[in-house]
Amino acid sequence: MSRIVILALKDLRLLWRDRFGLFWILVFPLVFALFFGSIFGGIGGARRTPLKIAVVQEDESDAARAYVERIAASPALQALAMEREAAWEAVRRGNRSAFVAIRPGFGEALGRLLEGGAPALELGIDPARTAEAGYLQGLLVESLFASMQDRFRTVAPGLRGPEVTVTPVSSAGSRPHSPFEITFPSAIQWALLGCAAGFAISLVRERTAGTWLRLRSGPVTRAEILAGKGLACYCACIVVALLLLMFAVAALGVRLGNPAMLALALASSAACFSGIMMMVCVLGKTEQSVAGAGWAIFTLMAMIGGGMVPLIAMPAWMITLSNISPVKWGIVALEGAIWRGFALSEMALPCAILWAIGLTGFGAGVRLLARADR
Amino acid sequence: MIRAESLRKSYDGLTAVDGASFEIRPGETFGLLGPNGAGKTTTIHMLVGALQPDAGSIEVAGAPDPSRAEVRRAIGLAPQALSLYAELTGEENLLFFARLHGLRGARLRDRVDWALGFAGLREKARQRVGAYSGGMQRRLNLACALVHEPRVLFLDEPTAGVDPQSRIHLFANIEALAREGRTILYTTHYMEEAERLCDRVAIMDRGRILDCDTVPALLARHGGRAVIEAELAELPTEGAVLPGRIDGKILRVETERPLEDLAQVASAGAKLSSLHLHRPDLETVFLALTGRSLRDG
Repeated sequence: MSRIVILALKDLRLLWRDRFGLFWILVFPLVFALFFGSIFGGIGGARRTPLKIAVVQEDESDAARAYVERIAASPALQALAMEREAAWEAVRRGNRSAFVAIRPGFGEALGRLLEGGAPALELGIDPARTAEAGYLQGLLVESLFASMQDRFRTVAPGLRGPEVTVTPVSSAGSRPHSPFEITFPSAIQWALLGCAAGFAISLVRERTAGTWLRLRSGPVTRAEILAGKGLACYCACIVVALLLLMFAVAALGVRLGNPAMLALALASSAACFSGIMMMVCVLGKTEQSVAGAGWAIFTLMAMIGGGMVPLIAMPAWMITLSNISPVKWGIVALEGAIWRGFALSEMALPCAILWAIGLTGFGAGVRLLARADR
Repeated sequence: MIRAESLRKSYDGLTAVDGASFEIRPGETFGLLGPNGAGKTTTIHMLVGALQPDAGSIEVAGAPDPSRAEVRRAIGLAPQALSLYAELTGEENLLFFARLHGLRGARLRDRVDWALGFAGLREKARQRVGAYSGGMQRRLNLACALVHEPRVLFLDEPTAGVDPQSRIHLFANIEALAREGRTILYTTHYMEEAERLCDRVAIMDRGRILDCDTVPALLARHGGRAVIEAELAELPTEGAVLPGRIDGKILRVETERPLEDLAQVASAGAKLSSLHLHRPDLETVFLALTGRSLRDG
């Protein structure tokens, strides 16, 4: 049995005996992963909380009333009729995300569309909810368009509106079946980050327990000691990922996609974060400093790599910057394996990057450790 | 077996070891005696290859580089701070360190069993070390250094913080190891331990070796003469000749032949109510060499 394996088995045994530490390394990452997974995807389907709006009815025409009824019937909206002043106050206080005022002459303008009539709506939005303004505008226009269709149907029965067909683009048979399949790669990344961050303090613990000196006086090199920590962390990462997989399959209906590619993606991600852990664990001389540095580095990686905010919501420069984050490449590899239907050649780039980062972390850790020991 | 030549080591501008030189012969128990902060532990760390000296040379078990694998297999270290995994049992600690040194199969089991017996921990072998008493942990700390049967032992203050009973147990263990012919470097700031266990002693202070020899030779060089202190029950009659000087009722005699001087006191008819003989010891030697007590640090 190689010394690295002996060291790793010892660390895993110590982890098993330390129930509190076991919680932070095995259980907490699962909680973390499920929390972020549910935020991004919504466990149990794509249902979202309806947007709360106030409706100010300033036009009493039939067309205007029909429009308001259409808005109220939308499952994406929770509309409440209010007077203008009350609606304004409700939005100002944050009780409603927005108000929609149906301006006087709305119905008449709707009836004169072909003669240049323009039905007038006013949208008052909470400054803190501007991200939803576009979404709300889309819903209002959709309802308006439906009202126009109703109107034209009476004038020209054969007239039909445009048809939009939505087609998910993915390999044959590899479409995501549940929203959690889409967020699952981020969840796995969080689990691995949590596991690696928890393991980072194990080297400092050797120093505080005095065992570092005994190890260093034995026939074992610094690189072997660090590799032992890395192997133990790698095994723990794999166990965490498997636990998360089992939960996701059993409770959330996630399918495993291509199991061989999934194994490759998991192995690469675990190697990457174990390698980074080996560098982080020598960045301080106390448990507090290493734990602080670990979480700072790992959180930053998650932030810029799309682990907190999806990459599509980021500005262009941030998307470019995300290329330096292993979280991004981990997500790409896992998505490729689970539902994008990547071939081995497509998996090669993200996996190679993950392994390269892991090995660089190990190398940097050995160098820093040698310097710290002088 | 061990040779240190002009070793130097500084931390952040503070000199911990300042040109220390000494040589330890095979089978010898060699003591490094000095107060806390004298540089003993730093010297050991350099000798086992855990620290790189700033200057000087080292030879351990015939090799100039203690970080070489064959040297590390030949040495055992019992650090001053307990270096055990508290969440593992005593047996698991021994198994781990023995495996790291390459022990396998029957030899592994035999050596671990021997080490548990040596430390008197067979009955507690499957208890977690965190539940051991301080003395039991100290004994296990020493056993972990011995489990791979090293030829050279570095024992850094092995009795620090130990109760008297465990200290006696440890002394017996170390004496047994010395009888087996192992080479031992023993650091302590207790002169009694150095006098009892060590064939030769180096007096260390502020990073420097002040002198190094057998205990009798050190005493002869730096210890001065023995002192007899007696309280006289009655002052001697006039004309009686007593050695030394009398201060009130206290007779004080500095002498190289205490028995002869005591006989002279008796023949002079002096009646004593108490008698103390102060022989020079390593404390006296340290005081003579540094002007300070060992306990002053």
